[in-house]
Amino acid sequence: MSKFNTDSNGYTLGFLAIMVIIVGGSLAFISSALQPTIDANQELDRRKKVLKAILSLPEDQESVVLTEAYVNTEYEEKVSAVLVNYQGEVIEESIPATYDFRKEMKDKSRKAEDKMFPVYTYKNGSEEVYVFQMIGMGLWDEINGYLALKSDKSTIQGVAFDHVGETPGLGAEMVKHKFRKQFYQQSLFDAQGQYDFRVYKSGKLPKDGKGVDGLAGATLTTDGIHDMLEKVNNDYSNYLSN
Amino acid sequence: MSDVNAKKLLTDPLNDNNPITVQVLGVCSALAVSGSVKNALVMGVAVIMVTAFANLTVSLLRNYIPSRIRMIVQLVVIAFLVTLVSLFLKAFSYDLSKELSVYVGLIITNCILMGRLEAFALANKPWPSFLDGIGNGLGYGLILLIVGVIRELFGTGSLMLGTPLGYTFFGEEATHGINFLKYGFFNDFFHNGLMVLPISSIFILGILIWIQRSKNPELVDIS
Repeated sequence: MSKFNTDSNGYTLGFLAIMVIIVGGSLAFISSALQPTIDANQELDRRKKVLKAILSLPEDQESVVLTEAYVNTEYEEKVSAVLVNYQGEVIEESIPATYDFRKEMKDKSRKAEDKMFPVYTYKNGSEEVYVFQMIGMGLWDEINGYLALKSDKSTIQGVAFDHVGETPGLGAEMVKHKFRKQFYQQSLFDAQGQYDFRVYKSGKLPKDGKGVDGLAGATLTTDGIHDMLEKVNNDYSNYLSN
Repeated sequence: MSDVNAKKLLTDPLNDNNPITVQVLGVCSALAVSGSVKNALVMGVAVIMVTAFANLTVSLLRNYIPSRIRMIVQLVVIAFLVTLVSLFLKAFSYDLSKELSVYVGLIITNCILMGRLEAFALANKPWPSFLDGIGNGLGYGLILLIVGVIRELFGTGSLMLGTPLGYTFFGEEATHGINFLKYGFFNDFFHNGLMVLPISSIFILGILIWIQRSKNPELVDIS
């Protein structure tokens, strides 16, 4: 059919070379053209989670209130971020673009004492809410989220969770309002100021209602969430007791 | 190209030549992504796009592809299209791309694609190949949808959750449709782990294949 001998080595190599140039070039072009949109989506998603934790809206309000325009104006007007060190002192007045929370947390070569942690502050009139970023391990993959504490730095204002690959219907239920609302208004510390907050295995929540009932059928995800909250207490203990 | 032929190309893969239940291709992702109707639908659409355009591209190039590297060329075409789908999802439907996570990328390894490229697109003209791609994508999506309906309904007690049409039927989360709370049964509906996990798809898929073959004995021993 074709004029060339399509089985010759030269033709095969030439075909490969042209194919690689066309495919690689167009993918690189499309990828870089779409990258700003993708970055904006990721940033919007992150801001949405921060505000979800801060505002702790009722379930039917969440998708209505948290529109793109609202999230961006509210975040830019009322949320500020600082970096604190392990001693709880503010190191940077804003989060530098080079700071990568995930990298910082996963860095095993440095101890928590040498790391820096982000703290988001939400100011609305006299109301002040502190937001702490969390990262941990679920059953299959990374889980993360934001923990918002009231100005007493103990009572939980709200939480927002996200995950990479938890089982849909089981571990992935962690993002649902039904699970998150259990955290609201609970205190992380007991009367003596000791850390006292548990995410229990599903159905094991004690009668007094202190703590959170875990996800049914997702014990390891539940444990991951518990550890993630505990890690906030470990990393920010000096900041929280200030 | 007659109309009869075009119709056959589109409808055959829905039943008598279904890529999943008859050709038994692409089972892996059919097990994994059929947990909810919404995911099944999106995955179905993504696969239809990729099979159709991969078939079209390979068919257009079929006389120029060196036969020794034809598999590599097919794989590059598939990978290119899947990467495109994944990039566009990330840019224009971020929530969805997050939910489907790795599964979109795994379309690359879906055997339906390679199977159709080898068996059809390399030997047929572009238009029939394009239709064959759409037909096989539809056949795949149909099975995903059936399994997704069964798994979502009996797993989480809802249908189409996450879309404007979403309904929750059972349990205390039931807000729409029939609220069984009133009647005092299904109050204690817990998510059914067996149905929620991909394992249940094996049973459901097996039963579907059984039903199809007992209705049409000619299919027995084809694959």
